[in-house]
Amino acid sequence: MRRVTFQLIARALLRKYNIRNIRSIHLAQALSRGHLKVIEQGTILCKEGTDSNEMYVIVQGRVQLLKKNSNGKPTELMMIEGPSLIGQMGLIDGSRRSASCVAAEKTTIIRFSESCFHSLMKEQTINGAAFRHQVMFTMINQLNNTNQKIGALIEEV
Amino acid sequence: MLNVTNQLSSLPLFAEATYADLHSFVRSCMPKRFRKGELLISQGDNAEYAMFLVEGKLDVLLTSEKNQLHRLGQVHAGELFGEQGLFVTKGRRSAQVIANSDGMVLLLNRAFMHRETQNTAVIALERMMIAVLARRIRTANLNLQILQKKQQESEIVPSISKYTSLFQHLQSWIGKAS
Repeated sequence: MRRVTFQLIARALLRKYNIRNIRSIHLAQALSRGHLKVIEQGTILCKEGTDSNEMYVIVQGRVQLLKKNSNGKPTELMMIEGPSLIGQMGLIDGSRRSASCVAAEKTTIIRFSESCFHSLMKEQTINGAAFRHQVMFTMINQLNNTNQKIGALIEEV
Repeated sequence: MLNVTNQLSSLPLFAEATYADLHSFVRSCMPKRFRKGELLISQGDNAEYAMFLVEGKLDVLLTSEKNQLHRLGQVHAGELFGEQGLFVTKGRRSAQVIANSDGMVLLLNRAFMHRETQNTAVIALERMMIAVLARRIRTANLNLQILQKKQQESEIVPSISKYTSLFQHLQSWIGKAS
């Protein structure tokens, strides 16, 4: 049952990011190293300004990204829908959380501890490679989206 | 080939890679020597491979829509560039790369990176790519914030001038009425 669940999550992620070189079974095995759980609406996954020690795969549901404005009031940066990866940046460059992440509804997530993330990052296995490629594709997608927003704003400003 | 392997094994990037893996990596890549001033990547070309700079220095340039050339940065020995070519199908080069000195690059193709998943040299490159992407995302986010602030300011200035002219109009109307 658990294996089937992770394989479905892996397939959904590979489909979303149009990743063709990874087999879902390998990504599923990497994902199964995390902790699958359901969180209620309003649950805070991480707080802006705190140390980064976990990353998450949003399986199903939505997570709101909030950042404090100049008056200290939390403002929505964006809404992230599953399947998606969040929180990996802080584990990669050791920076503090740049925004808070709050479940906008009942959400299923996979939580990866810092040690589990770094172990997959350097693991000499096909499952480790599948995880690294998933992280890379997610980040390339993120960078392209931001660059598109920048391109549109340059024309406006 | 052994010379290139020796050169790479001295880089901190490959500190955890075994010599055998590094040699297999070098053998699978296409080494390309270049001269100062040579064009290595043209803006708009198909992105089908990445390049790893073994020696030399490169300039990254962007041609704007008004045909002006902007220098975006430099690539130094031990750095990877054009890495989106390894992951994005039918992607295009977003900038051009010109040699600032004589040197050598290794051409990395998609098939090799996807096949050699357990090669320690490839793992080192993947980790570097992830770190480079994180840096680029941080920079892009910062640029986006600056532009969004500028946009907000440019929206505020016209509305202030609109109210100023309305106030002047009212003042002259009151003056006429009295």
